[in-house]
Amino acid sequence: MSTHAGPPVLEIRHLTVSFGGLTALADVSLSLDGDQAIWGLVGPNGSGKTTLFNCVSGMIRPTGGQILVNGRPLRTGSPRAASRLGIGRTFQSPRLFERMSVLDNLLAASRGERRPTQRAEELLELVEMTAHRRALAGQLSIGQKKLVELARVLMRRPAVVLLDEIAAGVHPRMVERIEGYLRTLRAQGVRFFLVEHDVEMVARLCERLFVLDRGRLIAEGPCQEVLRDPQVVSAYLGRPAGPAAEGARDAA
Amino acid sequence: MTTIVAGRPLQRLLAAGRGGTLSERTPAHLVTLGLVTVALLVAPHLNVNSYHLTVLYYVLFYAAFTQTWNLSSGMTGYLSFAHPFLLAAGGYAALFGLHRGLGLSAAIALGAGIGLLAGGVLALTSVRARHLVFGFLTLFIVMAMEIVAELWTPVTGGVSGLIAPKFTSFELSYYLTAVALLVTTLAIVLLRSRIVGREVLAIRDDEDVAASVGINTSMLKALLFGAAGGLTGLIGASHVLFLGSAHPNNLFPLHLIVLPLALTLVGGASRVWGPLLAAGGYTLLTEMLRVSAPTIHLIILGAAVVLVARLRSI
Repeated sequence: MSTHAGPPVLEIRHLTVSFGGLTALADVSLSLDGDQAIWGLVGPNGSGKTTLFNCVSGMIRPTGGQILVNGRPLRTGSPRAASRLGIGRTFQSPRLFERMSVLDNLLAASRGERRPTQRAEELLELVEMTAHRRALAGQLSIGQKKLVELARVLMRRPAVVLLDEIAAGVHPRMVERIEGYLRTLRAQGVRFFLVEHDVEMVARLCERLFVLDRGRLIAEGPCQEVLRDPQVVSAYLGRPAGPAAEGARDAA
Repeated sequence: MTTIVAGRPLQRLLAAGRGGTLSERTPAHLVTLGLVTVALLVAPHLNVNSYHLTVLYYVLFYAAFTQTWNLSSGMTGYLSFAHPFLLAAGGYAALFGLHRGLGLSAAIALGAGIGLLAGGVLALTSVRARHLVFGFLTLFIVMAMEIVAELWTPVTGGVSGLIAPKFTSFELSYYLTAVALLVTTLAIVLLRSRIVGREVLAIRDDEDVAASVGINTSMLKALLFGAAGGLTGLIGASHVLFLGSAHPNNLFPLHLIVLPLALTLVGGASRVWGPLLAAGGYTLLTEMLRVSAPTIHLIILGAAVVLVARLRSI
C-alpha cells in the first residue's frame, strides 16, 4: 500500500496498441507510485516493452487507454507533450545529435534551465564524460553515447526517466558504472523505469517489477517476489535469476 | 549517413574545427561579418566598370540566395526545392505593388511580406511531411507556382511578365541584396551562439528525439522558413528591380531550384561562411567560362557535390 501522498508518478490505464491485425499491447494497466524510485519492466522479445515506452514517451499513439503523469493526462502521440509533462527517455540504440558536440547535445535539451552550461557541466561530470565535452557525439563509443544520452535526458529534470535497455551492448565494467550512476541519481530523487534483459541488473536495482508477455501484464510486485513467480520463470526467465535474486530469496 | 573515419588525412582536415561548442567561434564570425560589411559598402565605389559591377551584383545575389536557403533548409535539414518560389513571390509582389501605385519602399516591403507568407506555406508543409516527402512537395510547389505565374495574368502579367514601371539605380538593388545577405548571415551566427541554434540543429539530426527533449520543432521551423521567406522575398524584390522585369523565365529557371542546395552542400550546411564562399566561387567560375564553355560550370558543380558528399557526412 502506497504511503506516498499524491498521485502516482506514472499511471497507465488499459493501454492497447494494435498494428493492423497484430496486438502489441493488450489492456495493460500499471502504476508507478511515489514510494519507490526504480521500477523494472521485463519480458521476452516482442512482449511489448518498447511499445509501451514508445506510447509513454509520445513516439506512437496507442489505440486505446490513458496515460497519466503525476495525475495529469498525457496527450498521446506527441513526444514534446510527454517531455513537458516530465517524461524523459533513452533509447535501445542511443540517439544523440551526432553532428553536434557532447556539450551541445546537452545544451539542446536545456530550454528553461536557468544556468544551462553549468547544469550540463555538472551532469557530464556525474557520468564522467567531461573530458569528451568537445567531441562530436557521432564519434563516441556505444557506452559513451549511452552516458551522454542519460545526461541529456536529465537536463530536463524529468519526473521519471524511461531507460530502454541501457545495459545492452556495453562492457560489464560500463554496466557497473551505469548502475553506480543510477544509484547516485536515485539518492538525489531521480526516478527510473527500466526495460532490461539483464535480470541480474534488474534484481540489483529495481524495487518493483512488471512483467509483460505477448502484450499482457502477467505479473507485478516487489522485484524479488516477481523473479520467483513460477509464471514469470516459465514465460521469461526459463530458469531462476542469478546470485542477486538467490541471495534475496535465501534471506527472505 | 557516412561517418568520418579517423586516420584519413583529408577527411580529418575537413572535420577540423568541428566538434567543440557552437558558440566558441562567435566572436570571430562577428568580426568577419563586420569586415564583410565594410567590404560590401566600399565595393561599388571602387574604380570598376559596369561589367565588373554586374558580376559583383551576381556574386552578391547568389550568395544571398544561397545563404537564405542555408538559414532554413541548411539548419533544419528540410531540403527545399521551392526557394525560387520565395524569390518569385517577393519579386512579383513588389512589381505588382508598384503597378498599383505603391511607393518604392512600400512595394519592397510588400515583396518581403509576401515572401514571408510564402515561407509560412513551406513551414506548414514541414509540419506533417518529413524530409524526403517534404522535398518532393516543395518540388511540386515550385513547379505549380511557375504555372500560376504564367496563367495568373491580372497579377503576374502571365507569360509576358511584369515590367518595372520605375527606373531604379544599381545601388538600390545592390544594397538591398547586401542587407539581406548580412542580416541572414548575422541570424545564422546568432543562432549558432544560442541555445535555440542547438535546438534547430537537433531538428536536423533527429527531429523525434528533439521533440522528446522538449524542443518546439514546429515553431522553430515556422520561424526559420518564415524568416528565410521574408529575406528571400526582399532579394526577389531587389532582383526584379535590377533586371527591370519579373518573368517566369528569370524567376523560375531550373538552376535556381538546385543551386542553393548544391552550393550549401559544397560549402557546408548550417556553416556560416562555407555556402557564401561556394556561391561566390560558383558565380565567378560561371562568368569565367561563360563564353568558352557556357554549361561546363554545372558539371564542375555536380562533381564538387559528389566529392564533398564522399569526403564528409552531409
